[in-house]
Amino acid sequence: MLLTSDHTEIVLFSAKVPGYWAKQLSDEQEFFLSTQVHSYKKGDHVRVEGPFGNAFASVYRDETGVYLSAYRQGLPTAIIVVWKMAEYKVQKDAQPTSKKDNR
Amino acid sequence: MRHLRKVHLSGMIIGLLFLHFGCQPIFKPRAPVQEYKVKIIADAEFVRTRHGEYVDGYLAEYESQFLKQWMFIVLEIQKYMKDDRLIVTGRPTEDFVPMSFGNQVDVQVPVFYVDKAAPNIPSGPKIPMLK
Repeated sequence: MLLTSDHTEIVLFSAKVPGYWAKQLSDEQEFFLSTQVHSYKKGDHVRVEGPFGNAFASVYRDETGVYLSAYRQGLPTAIIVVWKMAEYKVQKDAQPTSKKDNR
Repeated sequence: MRHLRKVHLSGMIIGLLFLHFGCQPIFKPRAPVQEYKVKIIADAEFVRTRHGEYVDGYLAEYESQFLKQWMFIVLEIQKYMKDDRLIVTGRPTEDFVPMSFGNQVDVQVPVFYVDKAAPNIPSGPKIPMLK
């Protein structure tokens, strides 16, 4: 996955959930990776493991400055609760290099 | 006998609901979505409304009929700054936030739940090129 944001947060049932926005390279699907780790940055390639689910969340997108409340969202946000996360070096040897795991 | 007990129970529940809510509908219809061009005039605040809700948001001003009006815009994520200009769409409420401005004490500022907020970047006037 390609991280499309720096460390940010969404709001789910009035609770702030930290993490990153990411795009799956194979089908361009967008996910929110729920993690407290903030050592990655926008543009990093990562491999993640963890349960997945959809939820209506309030989101703010840094790239457009647009805020959408959970009520307004037509489509739910796809969220992955990160159990394990590793940086993936694409250009060199295409092998994942463990940077920092979560939980 | 069991059937009779069920009927009695459901009747009692309906009666209690009627007693509690009276003739008013339980689920009030949502207010129609409205759009405003606002300017944030204070930093983000966490406030208690007159109806007892605790909400995050900003005090904002907008212009209506050449008059400056205030409203408290509720946003769950506070990434905007004071003096930012936004186009907000959402639902007005009958709730208020009591606020003080200088020597004006306990001003009732209406609460506005924001569904969508986007930066209001006015485009400059199109000036034709000189020939």
